[in-house]
Amino acid sequence: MERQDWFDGIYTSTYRAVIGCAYFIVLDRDIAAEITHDAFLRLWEHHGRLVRGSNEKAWLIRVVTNLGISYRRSQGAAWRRHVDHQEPVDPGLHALNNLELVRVRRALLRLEPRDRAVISLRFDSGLGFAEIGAIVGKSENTVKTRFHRAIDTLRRQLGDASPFDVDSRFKDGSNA
Amino acid sequence: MPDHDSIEQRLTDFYHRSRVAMSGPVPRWDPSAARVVKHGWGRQLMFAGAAAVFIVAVFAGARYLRLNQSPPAGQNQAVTSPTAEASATPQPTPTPSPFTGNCKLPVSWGDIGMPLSGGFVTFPGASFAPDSSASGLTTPYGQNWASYDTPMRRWVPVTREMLSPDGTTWLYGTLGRGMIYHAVDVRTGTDTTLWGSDQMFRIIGLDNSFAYAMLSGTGGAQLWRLPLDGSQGYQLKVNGTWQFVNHGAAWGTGSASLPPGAPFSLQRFDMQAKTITTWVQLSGPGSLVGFDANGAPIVQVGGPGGDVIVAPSPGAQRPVAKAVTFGKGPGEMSLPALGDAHGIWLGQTDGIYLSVNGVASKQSSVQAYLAGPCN
Repeated sequence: MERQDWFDGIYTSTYRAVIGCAYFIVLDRDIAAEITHDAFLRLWEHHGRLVRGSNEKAWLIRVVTNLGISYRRSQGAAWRRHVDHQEPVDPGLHALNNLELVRVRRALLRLEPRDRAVISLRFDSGLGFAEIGAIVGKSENTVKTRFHRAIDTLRRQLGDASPFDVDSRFKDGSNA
Repeated sequence: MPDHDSIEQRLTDFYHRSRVAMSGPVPRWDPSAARVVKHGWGRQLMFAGAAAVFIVAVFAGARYLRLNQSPPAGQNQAVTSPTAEASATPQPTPTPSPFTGNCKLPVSWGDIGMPLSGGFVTFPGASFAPDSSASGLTTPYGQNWASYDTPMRRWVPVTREMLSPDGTTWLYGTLGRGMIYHAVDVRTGTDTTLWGSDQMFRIIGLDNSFAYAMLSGTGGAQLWRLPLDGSQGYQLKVNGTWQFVNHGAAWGTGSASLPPGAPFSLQRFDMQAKTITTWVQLSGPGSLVGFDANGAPIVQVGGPGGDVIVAPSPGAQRPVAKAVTFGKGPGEMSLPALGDAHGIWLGQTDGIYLSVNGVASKQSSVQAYLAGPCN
């Protein structure tokens, strides 16, 4: 398969998943788009170097997650918000921009990027702790500890009055 | 507010709804546009050299000044001002032509996750003044926006596309079992729930009597007409995916998403005559960026930085502006081009332009969204 065809197929089929992972760590669309672009650039450069049978999507998720964790916010990124192109509005989707989303986003922003990655890989991607550990380069036990601490922090920040009780689907790591 | 029982439920909702909000066409891959992410900003600076340090200093300084500048005397201290700094993006250099008409152009601006502010650029002279009554607007569901309702002379918390042409009604949505849309009477504040709240309708616009919505069905996408008085809606017998409603017509590119680089095609569905017309057909990519005063679509050709044209009739194209880079804002924003009796306004990254007879002239350095026609 030609390099371009190989790349185009992966790009088209995985772009949304990859940029979603990036977004849920940095919580900024523009930065997420940059990180995603960088991840795909690395994929392009790795053509022919990935082990046969590699799961490129998993490789991209790992790359983009670690890029997101190590990203340093800069004035440059803030500036670029003003000069990037704006896709046409979708009036229906605009309705989803609501107070609850803003509150949860703000609470997540107070976590460390690595904890945001753990939370999003758990709740958004539905991964088990062992898989998350493989992605972020930490042991399963470390990931579990960070996960529970982060959840506890979020619960305090978001004012969830009910006793903390993580759904078993997320707690035992068996849904991966 | 939705009912949230636990932190995991709230997180699950957050991720799900954010995913929905991020859906849309996959952008075209362009390796030449790569912007390598800064990992370890300080280390990058060391290697970037004096030039990069200078650029960063200029940007940081401009931002610092912007964040710390005092609002004009007598203005509400809580109202921030839109940016008015020079853009790093090359811009067209049209023949200077200051607009000499007499009107006030409503504009809005804001930061991510925060309510928008609003104000007016007044012509002639292009003087700018914030309007404190536009600050902090939200819908009952917490959506933040600021558009100017010209007929009613007041600000509303939704995008222009969610405001009826006569200015009497604006729409907002909440997420329940389905997508629940509400019509708010501007004069009385009466809130009416539209029919079909158990369905995942997606509103694409409204006229003075009906909202128009897309619904995914087993036979494909469906276009529905939902009365603003809350009475039962009905399906319009037309195929295809439609994205906007304007001047009695629905407009669409024929598909919910297009592959990267796909030729742009824009269809018009006349909802009275029940006819579909291919209005614009490009050989490459394009995007609908607004409508002129007569309801003709304004299209950007070739993507960001491309030329902008208006299509007054099927197959006909007239130039509006060359090499346009529209401004970008928090979340989804309103259409960045707006036609009124004076011409076509363009909210660009370095300010506001007005195009008349195919020539666009910069009229203001205010960087803001177009919140309504100049009136």
